[in-house]
Amino acid sequence: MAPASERDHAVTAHFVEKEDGTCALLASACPICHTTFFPAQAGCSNCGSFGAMQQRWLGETGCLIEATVCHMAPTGYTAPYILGLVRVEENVEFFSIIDTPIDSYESAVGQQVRLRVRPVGHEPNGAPIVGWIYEPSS
Amino acid sequence: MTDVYVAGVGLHPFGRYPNLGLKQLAAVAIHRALQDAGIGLKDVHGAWVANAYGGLLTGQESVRGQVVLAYAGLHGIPITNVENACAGGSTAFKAAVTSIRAGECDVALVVGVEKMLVSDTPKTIRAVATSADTEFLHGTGFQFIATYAIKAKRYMKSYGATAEDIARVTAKNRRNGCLNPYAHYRKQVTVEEIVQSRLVCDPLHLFMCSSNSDGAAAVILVSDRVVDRLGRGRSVKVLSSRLCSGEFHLGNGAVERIVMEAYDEAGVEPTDLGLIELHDAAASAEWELLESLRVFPPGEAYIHSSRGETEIQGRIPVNPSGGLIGRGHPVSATGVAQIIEVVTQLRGNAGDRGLPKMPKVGLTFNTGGRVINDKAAITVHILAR
Repeated sequence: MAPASERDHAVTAHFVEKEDGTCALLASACPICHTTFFPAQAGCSNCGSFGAMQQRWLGETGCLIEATVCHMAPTGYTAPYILGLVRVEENVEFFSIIDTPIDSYESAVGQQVRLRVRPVGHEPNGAPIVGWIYEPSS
Repeated sequence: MTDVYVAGVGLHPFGRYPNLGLKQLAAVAIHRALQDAGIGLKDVHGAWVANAYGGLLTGQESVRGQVVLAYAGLHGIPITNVENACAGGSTAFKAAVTSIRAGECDVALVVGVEKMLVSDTPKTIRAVATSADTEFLHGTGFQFIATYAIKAKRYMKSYGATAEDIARVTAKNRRNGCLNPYAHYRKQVTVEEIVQSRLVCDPLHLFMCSSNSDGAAAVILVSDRVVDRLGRGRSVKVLSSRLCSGEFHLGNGAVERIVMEAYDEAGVEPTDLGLIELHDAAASAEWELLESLRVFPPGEAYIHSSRGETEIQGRIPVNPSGGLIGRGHPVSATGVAQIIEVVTQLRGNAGDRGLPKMPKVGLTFNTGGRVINDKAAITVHILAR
């Protein structure tokens, strides 16, 4: 295993919208035990290795496992909005804003969703917060 | 290795105290704990002070323990600052237990203190939100209560529990809080009032969620040597003190592992428990935690709960203090307050909320923060008289 260098740990965004419009989340994959981590990790909490972790871009497609309507919003966001638990692959699950109508969101649960990059809120100075969201694929 | 005992307990009531800061809240709890133990400030060998948001909400970012204890009259001793979000108080307790077991200290003071109500609710909400990975979660709209809401929904869909069932747990804890002179909420609420309170994150209504509070809780822990000098009669023994962090990526939960470790260390089974104080940040969390504690089989906790088995008069009282819902949740004080409730019940000192059958063994379950898919910190304590 190689010792870590400062360059390896430069902060990168967790997501990207490419020039062709496709979006991806930046995960890491352990080449020794083949576990994928999102958000990316520098060390493998599964097998204990470090210095070998590789970048891996996750595909756009996920499955919406469950969702809830948030009727109160943190600073910078507007209620109501939907938060959902998205599964991209086995053991890669995380929370995301779900962009789908509030009054019919339950029908999206259990369905395929697609990653997008959008403005999701505002900083205190009014600048937009850009983040990832998922929307129903169909 | 010496045994460790809780020899004294003290609380500042939980609630809204605009004229009191961290120092004043903590001093009341500390002096009450010393008085209860029958010792003075000079008898304390070491102190552990838990606080999470003192920096963001009061400006005291560093050396909070020393600042708070100086006001209470404690100088010169080793003072350790502890931060583990909502599990800070029980983490501080575990650190003190470890120190006494190692023979480093015979008399330890543990304090959990939090000042959350600073007349700026969004500021408090932003502070609480820092108990998760702030860099990763920026731009995700994440809020803690959504994780409880989604867990509740999955439980309801899997097993048939309803919003009214969540409301019944809420009503129980509010009812219990009315019997607790230190609780934030001293007014009962009906199931109807609970389901009519505003929705926070579907299916969780406002009353089903624990609230921000000010408050402080303190205990005095002692070794074998000192408990004999003070008298064993009112002391409660620590059978198990466990801490772990979550399984962050896998999200399977480290809970089952820590629960087994706790029962093993204490040499008890779930059926030995006379009461449980657990982390009802949302009332629905009681079900999954009771199932993780192997008190009820998977999917059945809500049924047993609805039958009254977790009431003060029930087979296995859960949150007789009112829990986070009824007692309020000044985050770093909660873990210590849970332990204090167990001690108080084991001593038979709980007044109107005293359990009809005097318990011999009690368990506390306290969690804090979130990293990716699991709790940042989980503690389990088992105590016995």
